Amino acid sequence: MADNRIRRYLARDFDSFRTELLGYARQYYPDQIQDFSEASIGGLFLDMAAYVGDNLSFYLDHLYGELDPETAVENINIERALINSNIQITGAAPSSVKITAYIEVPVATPGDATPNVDLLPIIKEGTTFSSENGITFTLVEDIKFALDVNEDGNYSLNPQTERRIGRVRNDGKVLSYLLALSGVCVSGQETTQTFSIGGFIPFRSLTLSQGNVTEIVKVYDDKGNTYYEVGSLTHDVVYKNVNNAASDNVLVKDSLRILPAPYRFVKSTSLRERTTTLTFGGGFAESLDDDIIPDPSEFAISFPYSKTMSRVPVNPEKLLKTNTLGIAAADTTLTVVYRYGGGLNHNVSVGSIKSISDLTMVFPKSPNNTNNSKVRNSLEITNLERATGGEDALTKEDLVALIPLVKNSQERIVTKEDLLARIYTMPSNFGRVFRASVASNPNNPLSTQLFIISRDSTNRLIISPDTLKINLKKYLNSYRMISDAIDILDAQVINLQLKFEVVIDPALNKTTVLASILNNLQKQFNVKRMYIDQPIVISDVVYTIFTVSGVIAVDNVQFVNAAGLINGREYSSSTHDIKSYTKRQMIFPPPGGIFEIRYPEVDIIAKVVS
Amino acid sequence: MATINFKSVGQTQQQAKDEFTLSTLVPIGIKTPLRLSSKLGLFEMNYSLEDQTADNLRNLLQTNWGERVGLYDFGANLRPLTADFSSQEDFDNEAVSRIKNAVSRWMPYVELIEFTSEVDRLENQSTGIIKITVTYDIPRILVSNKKIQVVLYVI
Repeated sequence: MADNRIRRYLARDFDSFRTELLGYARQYYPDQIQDFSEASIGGLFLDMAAYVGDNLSFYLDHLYGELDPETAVENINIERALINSNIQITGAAPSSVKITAYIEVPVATPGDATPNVDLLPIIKEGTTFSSENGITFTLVEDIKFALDVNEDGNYSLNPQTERRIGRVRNDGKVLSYLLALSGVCVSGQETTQTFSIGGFIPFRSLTLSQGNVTEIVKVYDDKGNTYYEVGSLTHDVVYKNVNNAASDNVLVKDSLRILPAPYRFVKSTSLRERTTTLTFGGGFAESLDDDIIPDPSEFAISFPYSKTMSRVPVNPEKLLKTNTLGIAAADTTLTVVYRYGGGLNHNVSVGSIKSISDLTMVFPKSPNNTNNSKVRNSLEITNLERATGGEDALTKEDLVALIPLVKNSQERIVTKEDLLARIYTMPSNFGRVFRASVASNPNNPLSTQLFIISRDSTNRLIISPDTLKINLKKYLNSYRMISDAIDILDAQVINLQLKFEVVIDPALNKTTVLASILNNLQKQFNVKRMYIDQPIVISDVVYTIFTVSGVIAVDNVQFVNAAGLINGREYSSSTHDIKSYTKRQMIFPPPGGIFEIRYPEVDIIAKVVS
Repeated sequence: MATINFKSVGQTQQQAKDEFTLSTLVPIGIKTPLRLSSKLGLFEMNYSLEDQTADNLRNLLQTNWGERVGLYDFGANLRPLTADFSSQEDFDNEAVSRIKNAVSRWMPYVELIEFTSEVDRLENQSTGIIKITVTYDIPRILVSNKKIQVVLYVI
């Protein structure tokens, strides 16, 4: 017999389920039971059925919510969404800074015009320094006072060295020179962790003990195998920059090589603990020859049965034919060298890096000369610029906000969105851009203007350091199309002061109301809410003030440009004609500009009028 | 030895009357405590508003907050009073208030008349039972001076 009873499926919560069930019972079972009041047992049964429906509905909503990273709440699902979107979960980003090393080098013969070449040192990569607030900085490149241009053992003074006369004898002859040379340091510490590996386990995972890992420097085992970090275990080659040994090495320092990577791993970071795990391949080295003898030339397409070939899609990151996803370490000791640590407090101020923690200085020409110790002891270091690029770890919300950007992106930079996504996902050990904006170049249709800006440790906007720009240039270069050009420019910071008059209810405490207004405005103009090319809507400001309880009227809201040095406070040097850039109650920055209320505690000026 | 022909076995007059009455009456609600029906339907049912109201009132008085799914504040919430029972006067004042509030919210058609309580302490004096008797009217269906008694245990 056909069941013609009408069921509705729109109920989602307890009350609507109960209402539906009650209507259903009254419509179809009026002769069985009538009392469904809360106090009756019929009402209890109705409540329980509605409760079950509510629960099922909740979990259905929850499950659907977990499918979308923007509504997901469980860390494991957000992590999966981030992995699927190819977004690396990172810890706090380190800052980078150029430090300057000063040494005093004696001359070979009093009065010589150059220092003794035999006593010129090289401060090796890995030397560590520390700042006044205890942040460790590691040198990531050699500081070569002695330079062997042709790699033939003939060293000379590095031409980039700044030289001044040091000690002078009574007769005026120079006894020594003071030399200064710079090198790039990054904050954070480098550490080595070893793992004793037992028998073969496919896809072995190793979790590093330190959090906020910014870079895996090197992974190797005691059998001499080096393990390479890859984006996915399917990638069986890595690109590496190696010294250019050809005759054009003066013009081209490095060349890019494709290296087979049978020993490889992927790095993942937990969203919750921010610990880093390395996952190795699933192959066994002793049984799989393909992995041991990888050869990119095997990629060459053979077509023995045909004399023609069609177009073939090529993944440039998969050139080798292997049956596994890399070789897993087995019966060995694995050593992992990695760098960790970062944060906004790593953006130390000028001159605060003074201490040498661990010095590695070599003298290529005179390794045992007793004069070496004099040169070594004369070493002093400082940073002539502020360390920048350090950022606290991206929050879960920040990472999720990146997904739509990255989802529409790809391995190549094609659209403006691709470019922005690529910038914001640059590995944090290269420093971090706070805001970026892309605009067409009005003078060159084939070029794009990229405006960037960074933050210092006090959250104020600063011009991005040159090191960061150089890193960005290299990083983008590997993703841009060969015919594209990107001009990296500094975003113009326009500092503003906000002045307004307000009428406050006489029955209320003016100080309290004013404090609420200022607090709300400081939140509204927090630098985290400001973007390049973002206009200020004056009506928004009026609304913010007016919504504070006790405000009767708001009048004379005006923004004033603050530039240069005002009452000991340093502002951006950029000036801006606010009046001519105001249209329909909106103040626009200049192209590639960003507004900032640099000192909100003094730059928001309220006047209470009656 | 007696021999009875089943053809001569029928219903008593009262049984036939009850069956007829039940089949023509409309059940209002389920009788508590729940028990399977020996007559019509799955459970035994109340067929009069008076009985159903008495059943509901008993459930209300014996339910404590947090016990009812979906309605966390359903019930007179009397049991907590027995946990810190000190004097009958204090208990009565609070119990009356709670019963009045619960009834006015969940069964507003019931008019409370009188409250009496009787404490029966056991030998060790720290435990016992409290018998609460509530007298009430249901003006809409012309029921008056109906009494209901619930028993609470001092714990």
